[in-house]
Amino acid sequence: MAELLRMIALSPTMSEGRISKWKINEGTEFSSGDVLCEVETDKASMDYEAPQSASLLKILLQAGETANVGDPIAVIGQKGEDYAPLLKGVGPEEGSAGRAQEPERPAEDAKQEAPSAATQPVAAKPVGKQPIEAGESQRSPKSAAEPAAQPAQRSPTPIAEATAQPLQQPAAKDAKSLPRKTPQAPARFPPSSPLARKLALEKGIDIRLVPGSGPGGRVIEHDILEFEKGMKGTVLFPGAGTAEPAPSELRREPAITQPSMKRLVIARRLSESFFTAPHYYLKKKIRAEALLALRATANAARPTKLSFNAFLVKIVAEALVRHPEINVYWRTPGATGAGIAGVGAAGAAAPGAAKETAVGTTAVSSSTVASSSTVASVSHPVLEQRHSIDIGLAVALSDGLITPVVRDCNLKSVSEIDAELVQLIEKARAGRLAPEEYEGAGFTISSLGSFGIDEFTAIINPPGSAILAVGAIVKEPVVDEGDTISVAQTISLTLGCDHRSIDGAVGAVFLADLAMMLENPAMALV
Amino acid sequence: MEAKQYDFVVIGAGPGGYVAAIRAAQLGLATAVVEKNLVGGVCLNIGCIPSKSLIHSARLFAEGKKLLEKCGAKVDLGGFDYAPAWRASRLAAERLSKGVNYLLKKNGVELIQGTATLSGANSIDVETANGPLQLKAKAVLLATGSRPRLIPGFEFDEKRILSSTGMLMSETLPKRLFILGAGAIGMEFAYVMNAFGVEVTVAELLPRVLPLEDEEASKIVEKEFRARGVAIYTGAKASGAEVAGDHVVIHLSDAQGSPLEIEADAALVSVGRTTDIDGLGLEKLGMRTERGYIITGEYHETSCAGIYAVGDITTYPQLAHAASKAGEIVAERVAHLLKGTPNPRDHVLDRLHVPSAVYCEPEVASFGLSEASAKEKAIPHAVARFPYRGNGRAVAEEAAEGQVKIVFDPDTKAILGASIVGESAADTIHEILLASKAELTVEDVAELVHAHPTVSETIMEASKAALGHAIHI
Repeated sequence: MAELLRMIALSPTMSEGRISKWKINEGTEFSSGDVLCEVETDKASMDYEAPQSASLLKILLQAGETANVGDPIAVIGQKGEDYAPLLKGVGPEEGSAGRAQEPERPAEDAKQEAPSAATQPVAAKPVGKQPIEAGESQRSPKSAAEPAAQPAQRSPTPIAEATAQPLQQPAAKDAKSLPRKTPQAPARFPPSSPLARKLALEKGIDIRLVPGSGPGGRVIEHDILEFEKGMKGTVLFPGAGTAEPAPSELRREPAITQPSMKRLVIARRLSESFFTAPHYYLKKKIRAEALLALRATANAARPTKLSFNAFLVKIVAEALVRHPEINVYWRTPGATGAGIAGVGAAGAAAPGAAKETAVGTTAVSSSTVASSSTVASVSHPVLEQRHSIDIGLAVALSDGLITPVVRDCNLKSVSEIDAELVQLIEKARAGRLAPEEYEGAGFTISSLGSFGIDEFTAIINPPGSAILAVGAIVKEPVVDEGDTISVAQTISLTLGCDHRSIDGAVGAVFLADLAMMLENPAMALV
Repeated sequence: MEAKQYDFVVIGAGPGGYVAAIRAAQLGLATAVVEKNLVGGVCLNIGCIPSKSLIHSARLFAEGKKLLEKCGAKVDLGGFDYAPAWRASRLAAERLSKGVNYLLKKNGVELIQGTATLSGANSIDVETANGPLQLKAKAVLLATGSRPRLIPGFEFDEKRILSSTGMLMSETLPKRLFILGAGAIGMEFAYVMNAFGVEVTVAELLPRVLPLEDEEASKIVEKEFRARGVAIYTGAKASGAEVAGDHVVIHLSDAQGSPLEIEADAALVSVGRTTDIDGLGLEKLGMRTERGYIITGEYHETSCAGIYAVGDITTYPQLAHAASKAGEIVAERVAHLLKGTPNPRDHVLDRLHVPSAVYCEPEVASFGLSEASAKEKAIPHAVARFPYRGNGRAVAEEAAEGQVKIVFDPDTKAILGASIVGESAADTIHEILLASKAELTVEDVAELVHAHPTVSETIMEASKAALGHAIHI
């Protein structure tokens, strides 16, 4: 008797597993105890041993794909057996997006098919096909017959797709296999009514921040108006209002103010990044003389001076070209990183410069307008490999911070980068940056050097996986090669990385290479 | 006597009750519905449905006659008999009532024929043909509906002084009909009777016909009715009616206060409907009511926890579809509480998006904010109109009387309400209704390509007019 082989829990906490490799091919016989495939779990890679002796008739879950415990991964049985009836009922789950993609079917059909479908357990997960926008579908109460019948009719399609689509993804340098991207237009807006979008635009509200109360979480007019109410009376600087200041001895209660929109974005984005991305930090002190000399040489003949930042951006870009494994993003299901404009990385060292007026750290971005195609929403974490080198540079503004992004830095000269930075920073100061000018940085540079900060750590700015915190240029005694002590211009670099996408050693190699190029800019040319 | 146990017991199988019962059964609730009369309620049996059948016959009759005469045919109405048209209306009612019976059975709703009294928050006594029955329910829905309102001086005898029920059950036509009340019911009967050749007089206390509809719409209707020979007295007070043998004399004072006597073969009194809540035992439960209406809150729950009320007995619009929707909300709420199914999307019926319709000719339909109420409430608004005479289809079908009127927010272009008078109004209103509910703006509707030639194009044009660029005017 042919039967479905299901994903089993290979560790007590395992809820889903990814097939990293099939050890035997379709059509091969195996004995009880043979290793059929390797499964990556939450903890480790485990062998999936055959529960009985049989033949592998059909692989349902290809290497690289993930299934929940209990989901079918293969068909086993005797050679030549007809297992087609088994595959009925293997398909997208009712209530998942697979269902949402299908037009509603008349209840009559459902009724007729129900008996045959009901004899097979319904697959709990789509096979092969990743459900998209799973969060959107609203589970609607239906008769029991309909969900059961739904997969039955669909079964040929998902299985055909599952087997026909190998993983074709530009792999990262370390050949990590990447989960397949679900083709999906980037979501520019959350689900929202036309009126709500219009009102948001008129009122200058970022609709992506507004919680939706309409059907399926849709943002409706009411939500915008409520949100606006919450914004009213916003006082950025307590005491700046017209209210009579209380005598100081009476001022014991903290002044409560509504944070500004921008503040809310910063808070939300930073919390999300800091509390979801496991940060670790790598530190490296570099000597800056060569870079300073290069800048001096270049500027000697120029009427306008190229900024130090422009050189920094250019060399970081070159390092990213050499280390694409840093230019990635770990996208998790439901992460607002996909849709929320926001601020990344305020330095954890902010106490050093914590005055509202002078937070010189890192800022806003969102992947929604990223130059590489982005995934609107996913059901499993995916690793996005960026193809362009888009670097954000934190700019401190009086009402918060913002990160203008220079796109395709590897294709631009230092003077082009400089010119762009000048323009972007000017726009940022005037509050006229368009979203596409501050969203989607794949890597961010934050500098508190101008505040005299020696070194600090910063919070990663999604959709990036790393951020470089640059301290002030300071004179320090250094030990030269000949064990002599001399005075050198040094800069402290701190690279913050998301451990989910960048392992320590990978980050270390990058930082070492970057430091080498910054100390010897000539090396960036060769 | 052992009580039968249910999750959900609905009292009244009209459009509020039977829809709620079916929805509850769909959601897995053990449901019973108690009905003392016919399944389908007033709507199906002595309301919307049979009247639509008569309106359909009347329209074919009048228009057929008109067209034939226009084409030179001599139309001899000798031998004309109203009875077959009336029987068709009864057949439609019977068929649909049977259909509801079938739907209840199909969904596993138990239908109990009898008269219900609440003996507690979750116990119901039912007087059935086979003796008393006791039901226990975790939640109860009251949907007992309404009956024609009686006013002193016009006591129904259903021979000369008729309610809408008597009018619908009458197999013959009067020669002369007096109608008191020019609301939807009065105007629909005025249309039907006039079309069949009855001499019709309508009197309305308020200054215009269809007083709940947009003023311009009611003007258009009044003009059309007058043109067809219907006598209309608005602002008229009726003091009483005297039945004198085979006719009835109605005493009126017209808008100027001059007394007026109108003689007719029958008088129809259509001045609203009274709630049917007597005998339900609500007083004992201490349920809150106001002037005969049950007061409900979130999810249409009454002041007695676990008892819900929808339809004509509540303060929501007395419309079948309003009752049905509220019934669904209640069913979904109860299932949510008892079975954990999703809560209904709306906590209460969204009044602003309940359409109303009058099925006379020209048809009238509306929803949301009218121009007058926007003015009264000082809500910023603008109005856009488009006349039917600018619409190819309407002109081709000789139905050029009518207009679409959209009330919208001049800043956001949000649709606040609409009123349509004219051909297919009750059908075409739904496009604007959907747009408004989904928060599309007039810009969105104006941009939408509409099939040509259709009456729906008037909605696109009115939306364009809102933006200042209607094409066909």
